[in-house]
Amino acid sequence: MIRAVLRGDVHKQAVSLLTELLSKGLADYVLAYRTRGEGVEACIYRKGDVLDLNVFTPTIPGLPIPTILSWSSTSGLKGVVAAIVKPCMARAIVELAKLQQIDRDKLIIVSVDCIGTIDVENYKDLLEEGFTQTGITEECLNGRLEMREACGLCTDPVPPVFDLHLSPYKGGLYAYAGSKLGNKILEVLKAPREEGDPYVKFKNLISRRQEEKQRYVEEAKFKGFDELQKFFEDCIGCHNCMEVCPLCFCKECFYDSPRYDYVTRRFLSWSPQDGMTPLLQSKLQFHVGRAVHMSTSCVECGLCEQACPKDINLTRLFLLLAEANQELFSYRAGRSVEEEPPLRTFHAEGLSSFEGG
Amino acid sequence: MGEFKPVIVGFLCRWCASAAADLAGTSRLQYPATIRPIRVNCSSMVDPAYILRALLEGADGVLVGACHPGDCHYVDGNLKERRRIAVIKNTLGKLGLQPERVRFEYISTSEGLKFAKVAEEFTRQIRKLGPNPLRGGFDD
Repeated sequence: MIRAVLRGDVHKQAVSLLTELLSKGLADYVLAYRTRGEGVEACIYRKGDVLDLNVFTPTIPGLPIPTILSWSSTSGLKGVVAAIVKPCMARAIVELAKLQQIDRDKLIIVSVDCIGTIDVENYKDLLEEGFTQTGITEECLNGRLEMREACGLCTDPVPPVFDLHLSPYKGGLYAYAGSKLGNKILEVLKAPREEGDPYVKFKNLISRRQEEKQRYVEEAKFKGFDELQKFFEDCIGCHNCMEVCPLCFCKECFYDSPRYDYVTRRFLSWSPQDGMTPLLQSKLQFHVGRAVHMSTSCVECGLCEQACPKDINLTRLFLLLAEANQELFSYRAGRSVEEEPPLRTFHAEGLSSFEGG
Repeated sequence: MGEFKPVIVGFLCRWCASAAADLAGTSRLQYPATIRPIRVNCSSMVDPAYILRALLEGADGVLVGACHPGDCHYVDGNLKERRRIAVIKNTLGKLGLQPERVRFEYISTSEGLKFAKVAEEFTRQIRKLGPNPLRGGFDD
């Protein structure tokens, strides 16, 4: 893989690279997060704007960039967007592109090194304690701050698909080209170029986490209805997990549709017997049903858990089901642009164990 | 109470399994009256959410009847449904929710006998499993 070597301050180099993308007309927009006060917010920049963005944000706020891209793609935004994303979000973009929600041709995926992010809430606390932005990023990179559970089990510090990948090193910043477009951009930028591999420095981390993840998924299995019921006991049915999910792109969720309005008559016919709680059934229908709908495309970002006001351990549910259901079709969400999403295609052979009794 | 009479929701493709159920009836074949048939235009319209809903609202089993591979009226609906069935069964398995309660069968129009056999077998299997633990206030 070709990489450009940009010597100097990491942040300044990243900003000047993106500014050049805009000024040379390679991109019409830059979509990234910036820090403002206590929060991190998504921002869109055009040519001539001051790029006060933060490339290596140590946290992912509520509005994921793939979701913004799917809005702009489906609403017919003209022009090329360069999106600065974490690896999990780069994988989500690939999935959404395959589901025709993002126009891959009008997009430059600029991914960044990421070994983990911290929960938005903890992030605010840290800022209040006097940490600086860069301080948090550094501490997080050294593994001294508690990461989100999903991040601690993530095996993609560098995404499988990207156009440009930004990776800091001691003396500056490497920009890797992951596609033809990426190569073209590096040529235009005229920075010194050399051969390199962005994955190599994370080799140990990836193999360690793969083992941990395997163990985690093994232990994550549920023992039955009672355990599941207890798991969702606190759910208030706010559907935040669905709202924030980068893969849940439906304009109206199946589970928000009128067919899931339970009418009083049915509650009355249910409740007196067996001490059953119909409300919980609708919770389970939502959670398990949503998992069935999107687990084959789940990128295991864990944003659902971050969005949950009741701190339900959704990472456990989605890691378990994403791993199991993607393995069924030897598929991995976001791994390649060519692989068809499992539920949109079929093969004549295989899966015979699911036929008959 | 008496003997446990399972409630099985049958999603039957109108081009094959549903006609097979008719054939089983007109041929006066004997099989347990446990299946509540719902005719669907193609097995592939049976979203896993429907199966889940049937189970969570008290059905003891769910049968999905599809055309044999290659015979689908809409070319490949049955094979797409097989993938959905795989996902829902796999999911139920990981959650400890008895995936054996879901059964996917290829039954062609002329296979009235097979329909009766499947009904009998599946009913026996469900009886062994006992009533659905998720069963709410359904009285059959």
